[in-house]
Amino acid sequence: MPVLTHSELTRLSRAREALGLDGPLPRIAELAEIAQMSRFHFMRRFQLVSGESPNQLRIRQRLLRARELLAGGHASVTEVCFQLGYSSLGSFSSLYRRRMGESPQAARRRLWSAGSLTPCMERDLHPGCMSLLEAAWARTDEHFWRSIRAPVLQHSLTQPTREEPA
Amino acid sequence: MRIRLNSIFVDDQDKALKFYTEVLGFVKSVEIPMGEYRWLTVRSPEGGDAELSLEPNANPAAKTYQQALLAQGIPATAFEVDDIEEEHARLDGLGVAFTREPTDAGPVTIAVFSDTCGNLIQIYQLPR
Repeated sequence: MPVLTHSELTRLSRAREALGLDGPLPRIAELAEIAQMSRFHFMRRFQLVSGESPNQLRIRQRLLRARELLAGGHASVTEVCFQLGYSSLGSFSSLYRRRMGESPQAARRRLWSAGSLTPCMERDLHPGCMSLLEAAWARTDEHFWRSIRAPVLQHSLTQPTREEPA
Repeated sequence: MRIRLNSIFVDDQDKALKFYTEVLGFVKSVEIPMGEYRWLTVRSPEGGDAELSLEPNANPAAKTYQQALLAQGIPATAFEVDDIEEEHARLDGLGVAFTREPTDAGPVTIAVFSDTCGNLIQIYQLPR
């Protein structure tokens, strides 16, 4: 027997979606009801699929969202804090620093100074794989790509404009 | 033309890197900071020249796609293993949740597990 049946997985996915990012944290009993499981069973199963509890997952996802907003540079730390529903700037800053390794103020400065991912990309757009790749290419020199053990990048990304010396 | 790069959406690159290296056993290949994201790839220590990009699912379309695949039980990608029973036992011992234990699927044997980052992953063993 597999650890998780397809039916369980589907129901757990619904509960995971119901977690959301905004508003008050749904009660475990509500999530368990969505997943059609007992609270105990739901918590065990959720941890198996996600590697963390619903509360931990939501905290992490909200902090990642905070990092995105901070990187956008349009909102102050205070605005990001309240936009995500935290009621105390001090608590938000403390939580952010503890989990993300730097204060939200420092993150905002660092991320915003990093600039746009690519010249043609608006900050508000979320990057996909290929746009990150393009940016990676633009930010490093040919020596970097040749120094790493990454044939795909060596072959595909170094600019094919120069002949190798004989 | 060659296929040497594949990507998978993950809900958190840090968490994904930990799972894909410490649990699955891949090794980090390239990591370049890109503001709040990173160009981040892993590769197999067993050889081959394919890279797997751990791609942030920040785009809402990516989230929707990823959630739909998960809810329908569809693996996001597949990795080949030499001995699926052995790999299953190893991952099971590390607490990985399987939705399908090693199962004959015609000429191959397959198994499916959660990568804890919002995906199902299939492993398969070809006939010996």
